[in-house]
Amino acid sequence: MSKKSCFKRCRMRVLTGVIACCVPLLALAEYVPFPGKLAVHLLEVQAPNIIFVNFETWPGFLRSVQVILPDTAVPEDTPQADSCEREKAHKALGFTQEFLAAAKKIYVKDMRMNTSADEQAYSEILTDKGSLSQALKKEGLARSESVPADTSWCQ
Amino acid sequence: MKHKRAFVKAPVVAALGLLAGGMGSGSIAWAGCEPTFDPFLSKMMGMDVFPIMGHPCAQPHPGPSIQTLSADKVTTFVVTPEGHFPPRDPFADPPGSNFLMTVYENMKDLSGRDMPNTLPSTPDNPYNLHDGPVLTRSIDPTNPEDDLDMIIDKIEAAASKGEQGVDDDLIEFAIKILEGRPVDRAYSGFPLLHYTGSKKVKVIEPIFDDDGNVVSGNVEVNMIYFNQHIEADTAFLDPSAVQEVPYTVTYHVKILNRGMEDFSPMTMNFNRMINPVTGEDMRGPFHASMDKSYFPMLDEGTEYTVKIKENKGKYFNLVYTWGWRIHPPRVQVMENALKTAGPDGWTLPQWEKAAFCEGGAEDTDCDPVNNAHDRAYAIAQIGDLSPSKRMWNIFKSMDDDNSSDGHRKGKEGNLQQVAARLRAAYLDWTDRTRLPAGVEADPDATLTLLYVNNTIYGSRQGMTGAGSNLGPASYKGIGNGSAHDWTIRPYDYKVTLYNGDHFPHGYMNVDFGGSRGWENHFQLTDPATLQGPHPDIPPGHPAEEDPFTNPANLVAGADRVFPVNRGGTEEFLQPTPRNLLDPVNGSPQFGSGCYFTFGRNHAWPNAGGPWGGIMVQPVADDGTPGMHKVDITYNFEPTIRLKIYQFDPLHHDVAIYSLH
Repeated sequence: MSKKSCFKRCRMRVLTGVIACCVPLLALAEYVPFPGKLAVHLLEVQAPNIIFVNFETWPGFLRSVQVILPDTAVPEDTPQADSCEREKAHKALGFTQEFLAAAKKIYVKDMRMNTSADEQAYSEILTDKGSLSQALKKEGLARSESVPADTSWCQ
Repeated sequence: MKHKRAFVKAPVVAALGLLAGGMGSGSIAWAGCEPTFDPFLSKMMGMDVFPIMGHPCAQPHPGPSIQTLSADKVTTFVVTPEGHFPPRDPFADPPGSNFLMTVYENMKDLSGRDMPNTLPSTPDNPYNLHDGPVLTRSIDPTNPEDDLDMIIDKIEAAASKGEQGVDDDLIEFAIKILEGRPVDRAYSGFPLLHYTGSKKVKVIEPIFDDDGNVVSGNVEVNMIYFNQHIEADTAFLDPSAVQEVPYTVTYHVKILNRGMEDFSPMTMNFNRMINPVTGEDMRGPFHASMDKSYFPMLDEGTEYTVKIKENKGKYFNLVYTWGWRIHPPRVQVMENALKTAGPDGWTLPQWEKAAFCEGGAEDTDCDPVNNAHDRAYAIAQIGDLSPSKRMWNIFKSMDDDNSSDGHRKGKEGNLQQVAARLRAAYLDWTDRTRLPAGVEADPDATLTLLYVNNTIYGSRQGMTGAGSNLGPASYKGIGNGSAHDWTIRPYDYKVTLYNGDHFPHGYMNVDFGGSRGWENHFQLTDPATLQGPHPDIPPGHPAEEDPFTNPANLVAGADRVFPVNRGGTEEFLQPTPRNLLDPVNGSPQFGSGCYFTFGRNHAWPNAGGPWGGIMVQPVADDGTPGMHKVDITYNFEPTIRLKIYQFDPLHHDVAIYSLH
């Protein structure tokens, strides 16, 4: 494994841990400070279901926000995961990167936050090619969070 | 989450170099300007950036306010960031810690580029941004208020004589006044019902040199001033053709009866910078705003033509034209027609269409000015709590042979009741510093505001000064709206917003220099406060006599810039500010200017807008106004000039209500 991909994987593991503790609180968020469909600029794909974007909330005022796909569980690339799940996690990350790279426009819609100043938000990621969440699920690279976590990704 | 240094592509040196693009390497220094790490912009860009900051460049950006919504979704709570000046009561200890000493240079943007026409007043030229002399011509001073009063007088007189009706022409005249249709008056074409916003868009026309290059531009704007009103034929300026060149705005200001005022168009600028990653010239957050003039327009029945020099179109955010003598109600705004806001990326003119055109935001042939059907639809969007709409409803009913509500002349014999209703609506319309009939102030709020007729009515009024128990008279104008209790941080402000119109209104709250600092420029138009030698006073002028020559009234030191009340006319120390030899363009007389105006003030949003939309839903079918509450904790001190600026960001024009 190259140093670059090692760096990416390690960072992703840390991120996954951080997100795991933040998501439950954020999932309760109902505040939509920036309603509607907003065009965003992709800064980084941080995980298959998490992207870092910026966008103009008001003329002249850019914001950078980490957007998490709602109800979209993805396979994890962690030592606890089996090799099949780790392989899928790798595929899912590549899929999201390619899906968004191919998109001419990327949008968030009715982004939910706890406070308007949060740097994390829950939203669908929409593109001219369709919804990222649905595309991941269609490819078997994501599933609803209602599916028990111990369900194998390879069945 | 901290901003992501890990994935920064460009090193800081490159970011700095790009930011300062277009400048000589040795020129990154003006007054207090220097490359400075800015946490707000860095977070915004997702990388460390070092823009050119200081005064008269950008002041530090305070960062976002934090907004949350109550569980019942009725109240938006807002906490502003901490101001970067130390806490200090600017009223007890003037001018306060947020006062910036005047720098006689143009402003610079975040990349250190000169912003032309951004120095409003200098010792050599108090009106530095006037392009040529002010021109005047006589006009009919009659204002719409005079005529409506006259019409209602006649209806009252007819009613008192037991007559059943009045001349149809009189009723038609009243309807035309309210709708802004052509009448034989100087104010013809300015509606009192605010339904024509989608037609109030003007393009800044480019001016070319012999080689076909755009070198400038100009736009003509018409305005009327009377009593509490400033109305304009322009609510949006389209600067598309003058993005890279300075331009002018030629104002034709009609001062009607009870309209005397000082001309104070305040241009608000966006900052700009070279994107440190892409190298593109990009729009940034608010830069400074400034009154571009403070020219006294004191002769009623006069049209003043004032040509004002403006910055390059790419910096344009908006122009507020204040009427500080009767403020909050006197104010009007021209927005940048290219700005978008809210969901779905509508431009501001599209928001007007969404509210007033049957085909919504995309309606291409909506013309409420010239098409009767479109006009009827648009006026129906204005709520019936509106005093002007109440008048219009009654007059329309009187003009309608088939009216069933008893107003039709000669049918029901109830002209006295009609006259009483008209008078009540008229009186409500003349004063938007109190709530009209049908709306009660929220006792738990600092202020209650009612959106109706695409403007805002407020719940507080009163004079200030000694004996009023409403605070000091430390600002210019009548104290019809004040946040007296706010002198030092923190300050909790509660506003209850009602919407009586049939379309949603937004709410935004902006600070003009309390948090980031402000200059006082137009003291130079007031020789009483000018440091240095005063201009010659003509022999025999009252300024040569007591109280102005009384040593007890002489002011020294810092008070020359921030004078105290010296016992004479508080604001204007002379009966006339005019130079007796050249009444229009001569150097102004002793005391003709303002203690302190908005020189350059560094604005910042407090609530709404970039920190999240705050909407007030339309009136319900049963007539209940939409309602939302906003609770703001201010963590900085206000300027002496203006404490709280609040408006509808989706329908700006005259939907404004500020507090001193």
